[in-house]
Amino acid sequence: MNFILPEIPRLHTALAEWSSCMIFVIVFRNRICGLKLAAVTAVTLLIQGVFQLFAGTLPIGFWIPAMVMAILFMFFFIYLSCRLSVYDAAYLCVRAFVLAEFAASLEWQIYCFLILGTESTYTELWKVLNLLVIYLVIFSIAFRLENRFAPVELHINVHLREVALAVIIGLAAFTMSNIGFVYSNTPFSARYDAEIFIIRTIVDFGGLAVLYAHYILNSELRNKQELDAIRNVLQRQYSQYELFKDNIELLNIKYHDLKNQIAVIRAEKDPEKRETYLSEMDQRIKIYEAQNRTGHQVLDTVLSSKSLLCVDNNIELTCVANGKLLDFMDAMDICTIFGNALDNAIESELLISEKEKRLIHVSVFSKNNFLMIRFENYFLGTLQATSGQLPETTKKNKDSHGYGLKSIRYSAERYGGSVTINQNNHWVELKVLIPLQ
Amino acid sequence: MIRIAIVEDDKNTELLIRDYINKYALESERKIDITSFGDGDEIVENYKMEYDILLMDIQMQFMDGLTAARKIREQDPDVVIIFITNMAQYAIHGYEVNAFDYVLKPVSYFSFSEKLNRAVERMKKQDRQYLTIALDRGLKKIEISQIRYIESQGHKITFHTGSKEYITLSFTMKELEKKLENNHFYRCNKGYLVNLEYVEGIQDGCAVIADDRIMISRLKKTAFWEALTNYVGDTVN
Repeated sequence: MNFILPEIPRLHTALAEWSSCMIFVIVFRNRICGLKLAAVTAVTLLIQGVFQLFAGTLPIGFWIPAMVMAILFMFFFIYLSCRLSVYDAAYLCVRAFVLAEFAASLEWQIYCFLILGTESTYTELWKVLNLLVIYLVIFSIAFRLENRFAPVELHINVHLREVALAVIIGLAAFTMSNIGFVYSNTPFSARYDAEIFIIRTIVDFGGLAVLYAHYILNSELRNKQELDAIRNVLQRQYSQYELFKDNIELLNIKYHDLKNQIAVIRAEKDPEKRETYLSEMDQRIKIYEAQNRTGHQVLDTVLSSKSLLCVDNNIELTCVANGKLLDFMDAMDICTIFGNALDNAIESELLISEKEKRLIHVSVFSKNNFLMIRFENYFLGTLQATSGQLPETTKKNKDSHGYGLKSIRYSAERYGGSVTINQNNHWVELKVLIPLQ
Repeated sequence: MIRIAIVEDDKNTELLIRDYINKYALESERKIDITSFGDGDEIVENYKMEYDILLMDIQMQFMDGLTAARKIREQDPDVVIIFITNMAQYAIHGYEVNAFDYVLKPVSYFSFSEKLNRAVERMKKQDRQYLTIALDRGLKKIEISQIRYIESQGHKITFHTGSKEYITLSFTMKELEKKLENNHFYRCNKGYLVNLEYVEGIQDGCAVIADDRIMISRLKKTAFWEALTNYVGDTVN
C-alpha cells in the first residue's frame, strides 16, 4: 500500500452506534411508542452525531474516555426507551456496541477497497451510497435475527454473571481489533493499515458471533427451564387432584355412615349425649357441603379441595359454574387453570386481615361461541401489570415463581384461547376465553 | 334508577336485605327502587320485565327460587339474578338460569354490597344509545347495539345491522372508533370496526359475525383477543 488509509469518519461511527441501538429499541419496544419514540430517536441520533464530531477534535489521549462516553450514551438510550432492567440494558448495550463496531469497520473497509484511490469524480456520493447500502444490509440482517429470537415477555432477565461475560467478550473483541491503531508494535498489531482493517473487521465479527451464540444459548436454556417449571406446575395441580379424589371417595363413605349414626341418635336417651352427637354430625355435613356439583367431575373435585381450604381460612368462595362446558378439555388443563387461579386468589385473600373481606367468585359460562372462565377476588393492593400482559410475580424469587399464571396461559393457548388479568377497583379479575368448536 | 326485586319468604331476612340495599344506595349515591315478593310464585305470576336485579331466596314454600328463576328466564334474558341462600349446594345450580352470583346466609353487609355493586356495574346498559347518520334521503337514527360491524371503503362507510345496511359519507373511521369507544367496538383492521357483542368465533384469523368473516390484521391479533376476553368477561353471563 502506498497511501495511508484514513480512519473511519466519526459520523459513520455515530450512525452505526445509533442504528444498532435502534434495533434493540424497536425489538424491545414497550415503554414508548409512536411519535414519542420518533422524537426520542431523532434526538439521540443528533446527540450521538454531535458528540462523535466533537470527540473527533479531541487529542488522542481522550480516545478511550470518549469511547466510554459513547458506550454510556448507548446504554442510556436503550435503558430509557425500553422497560428493561439495568442488567438487561447493559447486556444489550454490549451487543449493540460490538455490532456497531463491526458494521462501521466493514463498511469502511469496503469503501476503502472499492472507492478510495479510484479516479472517480463522485467520491463523496459513492461514499454515502456505500454507507447506506452496507448499513442497510447489516442492520436489516441483524434486526431480523434479533426479532426472531426476541422473548415474548420483552425482557431477558440476565444475571450479573452473564452481563460480566458479555462485557469481557466485548472488551476482548474491542481491544484486539483496535490495538493496532494505538500501538504498532505488539505481537497482535498488524504492520500495514490494510491488514489492520481486515483484522479489525474479523475480530469484531468474531466477537459479534460469540455474543450472539451466547444470547441464543442463554434464551434457549431459559425457555427450557420455563417450560420445565410450567410442566411442574401442571403436574402438581394434577397430583393434588388425584390425591383429593381419593379423599372425596372416603368422604362419600362417611356420608353413608352418617345415616347409620342417625339411627343411633334416635335410640339415644341421654339428651346431653344426643347433643354432642348432633353437633359432631353438623360439622361433618359442613365439610360435605363444601363439595361442589357443577356437572363436571374434575372441576367438582378441584373446587371442593379449594373450598375446603377457603372454609379453613374464612374465605367466602362462591361459584356459579356450568361444568358441562368443560367437557372438551383435558383433566390436566382444568386442574391447571382452576387450581392455579384459585391458589393465587386464596394467597391474595390471606393478605387481607379483615376476614369478612375475603371474597372469591368463580364463574364458568358461555357466550356466543366462547367459553368464559372468570375468577374474581377482593384485593386491597395495586396489581403490577401493563395492559394485557400477565403481571410479574410478587414473590421474591422471580426465577422459580410466577409460573401459575404462565401455566394458565399455556393451557388456555392449547385450545386457541387467551388470558387477561386486570384490576377493577378492589377486585382482581382473571379471565380465560376459549373458543368452543 | 335501579329496580330491584326481593323474593324472600322470611320476613326478617327481607327487612335485613332492604336495609342493606338502602345503605348501599346511600353510600354509592344511586337511586334504587325496591319491590318485595313473599314467594317464588308471586313474582312469576304476571311477571313484568321491569327489574334490573332479582335477589332470590332458594328455599321457599310454594315455588322455590330455581324454578321461579327458570320461568322468569323464559321471558327475561337480561335481568341479573343473585340468589340468597343458606344452601351453597343448591346455589351452584345457578348456572342453569344464568345466575350472576349468590350470597350465603347469614348475609353480611360487606359481601352483599360488594356483590350488588359488581352486578350494578355489569348490568346491561338499559338506556338505548343512538347514532345519527346522514343518508341520501336524510338523517337516520340507528341504535348502536344493533350495529354488528362498520365497514369503510374509501369515503363510504357502511353500517351493517342484522336486517339492513346503511351507507353514509358523514364519518371517518377514526371518528367512529372514538365515538364508539365505550360501546365495545374494536377496530380489527383498517377498514372494519366490529361490535364485540356479535363476534361468534374466530376462524382462520377472521372474526365470525353471523355469515360474515372479517379479517383481523396480524398486528392486532393479540390485542383483539384481549379486547374480546375482557368484553366477554365483563358481561354478567
